[in-house]
Amino acid sequence: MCWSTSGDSLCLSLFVQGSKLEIPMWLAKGLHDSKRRLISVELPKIYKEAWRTVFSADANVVDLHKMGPYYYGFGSQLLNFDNPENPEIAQTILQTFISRFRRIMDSSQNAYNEDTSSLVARLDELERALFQAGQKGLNDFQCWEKGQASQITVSSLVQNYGKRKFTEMDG
Amino acid sequence: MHWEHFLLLLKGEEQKVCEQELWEAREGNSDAIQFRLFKIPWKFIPSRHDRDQTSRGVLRHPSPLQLPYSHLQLIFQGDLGPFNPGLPVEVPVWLAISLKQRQKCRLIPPEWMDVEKLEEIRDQERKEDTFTPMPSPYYMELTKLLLNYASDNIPKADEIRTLVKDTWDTRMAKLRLSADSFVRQQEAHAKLDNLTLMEINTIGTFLTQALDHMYKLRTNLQPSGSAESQDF
Repeated sequence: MCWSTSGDSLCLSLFVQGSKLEIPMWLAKGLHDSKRRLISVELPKIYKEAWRTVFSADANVVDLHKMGPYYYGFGSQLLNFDNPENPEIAQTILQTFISRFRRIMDSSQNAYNEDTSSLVARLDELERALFQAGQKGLNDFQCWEKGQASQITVSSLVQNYGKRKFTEMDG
Repeated sequence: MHWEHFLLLLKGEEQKVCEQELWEAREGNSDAIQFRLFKIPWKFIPSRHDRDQTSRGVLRHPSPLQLPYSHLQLIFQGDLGPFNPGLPVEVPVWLAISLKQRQKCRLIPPEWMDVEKLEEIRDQERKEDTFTPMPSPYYMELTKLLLNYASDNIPKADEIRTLVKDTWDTRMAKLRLSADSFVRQQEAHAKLDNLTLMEINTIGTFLTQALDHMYKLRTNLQPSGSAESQDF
């Protein structure tokens, strides 16, 4: 007897042993137990041998956003499942990050005031956050250089305060 | 108590405000006095005494006042001058810019802010793989301030601006190259000499975040005993 999902709800139903099912990661993680062997997890294709060789050849060409926008995070979680290929997967994820690092750094630190959508299109979410950090460094520097850093501006919180009407105040 | 010593340094409205503050402070205990002294606004005012050749830079409390927390009593003070017309005098940068904005002085650029010297530095920067020591740890800040406010006092200001920008670009490129090789070789630590704070701050957030992520990915390589170590 196994859990199954139909739409948004979980329901108990009888399942034939050995059937394949798509379940959320958190559920798989919860059900996983190396002793009782309730489930075995099959790797998504991007973490398998074929794609791993693509990554080791040139990680920069891969569109990581399309391939599952959480390549690094999800990949790290996958390592929970006692798969014999785990060391290779971990190594591939790390090496992918290292090879793509340079491009993210250069593009985020050089694209000032431009449309960056083409630059971030092929990045996964973690890389996009890094890109933002790089852009912030660049923007802060440019802001300083233009002399805007020492200008006093109205805080956005204050700008959003409505002016109170006299009638609303306590008499 | 020599309160008058204070009040001579201020004029007009500020004097009235301070008189009031100080009067009230006398009635309170020493903590209240301390607090009120901090509330008094700071001003740079030249001394009113004719016999005084120096300008008193800031407010000081009168010495007979015994206060606890003596390390807090002096907020900052300094004597500058004497200011004689036509003779150069060394002052802090903030004062120089302030006086220049009021058109009361002419600024003399630092001796490294010169076309030949900067060309030398730029060429050396391009030649070497490591960072050359810069003439001032604040070369970017000084260049920006002086060229914005006192470009008329600096010969060949535009060339200097270009030269400094070129040097900056070269250094940033070197920094990125270093960062990339640091990440590639998965080093545990690196040391870069002769970097200035401005350069570090521009790339700092990005680099530290990237290294954090890399560290987490590297811990994945260790065989895990429990699920917690895989948390991302």
